[in-house]
Amino acid sequence: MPLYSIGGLKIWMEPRYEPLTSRSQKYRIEGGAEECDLRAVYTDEEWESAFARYKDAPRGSVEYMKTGARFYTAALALGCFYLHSSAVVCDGRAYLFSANSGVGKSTHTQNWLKRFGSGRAYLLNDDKPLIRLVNGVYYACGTPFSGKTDQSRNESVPLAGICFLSRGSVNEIARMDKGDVFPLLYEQTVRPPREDDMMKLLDMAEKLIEDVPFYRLTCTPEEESAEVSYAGMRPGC
Amino acid sequence: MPGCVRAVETSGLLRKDLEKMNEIYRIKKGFLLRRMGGSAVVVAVDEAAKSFKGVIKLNEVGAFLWERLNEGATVEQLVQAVTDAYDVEREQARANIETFLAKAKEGGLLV
Repeated sequence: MPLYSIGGLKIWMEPRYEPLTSRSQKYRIEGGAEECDLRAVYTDEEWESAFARYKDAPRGSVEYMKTGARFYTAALALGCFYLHSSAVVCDGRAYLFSANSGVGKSTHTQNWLKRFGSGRAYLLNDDKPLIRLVNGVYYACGTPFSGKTDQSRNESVPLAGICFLSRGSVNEIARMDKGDVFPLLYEQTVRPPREDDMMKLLDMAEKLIEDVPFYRLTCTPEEESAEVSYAGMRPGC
Repeated sequence: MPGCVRAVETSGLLRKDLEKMNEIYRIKKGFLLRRMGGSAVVVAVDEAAKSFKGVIKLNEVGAFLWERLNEGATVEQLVQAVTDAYDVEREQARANIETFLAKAKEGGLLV
């Protein structure tokens, strides 16, 4: 029964190692591979070749990385892409904080959890939430590919906004001009080598930039940074 | 007219200018231009993506030049196209175009 539901899409995966086996558990559904919308599997030969290539890495890490890569590349054809970001949900809406690794996305979303408490806020995905447009609404979706710790939920939540984060000595947020967004977005998503996949990505990015607000945040590691970003991004502002 | 031909042959500098005038500039295969958000961006696919992993942001005139360079054009053709489409002096257009081409060449974007 190798079928999983991620972001409402049916995925054929066959995890064999940790961490993918336990992280994908909550996405398991009844059904067979033939019902899948997309495949995130490799042949035995491809696995042997991958394990040989990354011989110093644990097999579980290789499986996690390559399954994720195949999943996100295949998802493009279905009109979804990931953003390298930490996605926090507050009052039923998803806020994505994007930056290179180590800059402070997770620290910032943890500040949201502290500030708003578990009654209002939780983490949807801490590494690569999937973004999907369904019936005119953009959703951020939890996936098994959630980074170092498995902080993710198997949910699709309406997207409130996307924020590019950098470190600063003060907490400041500003809305971005649409024309400035793409280069930052492109840096934090899958870069498909093939023209047809790239055209799909450009189509989705163009529409997302048109419809969803983007922000730039500089922030400190302190909890009050969550106040500033929330004030800048919350509905109705 | 024999006098003119002789003048061209005896002037090495003039011959080089003529060659440059006729040089066709063209963007390499594998770059995709997309207008979005009121701006324009360029990304690379296929072979080009092996050496070009970034994204180029272009303003309106840059996108205009890029589209013409996709078909191939000489400097004079570009100058003509820009001055036809935009309210700009010929010499200013030429200077901007030459800067653009120099950057494109430096970035390995031209054939």
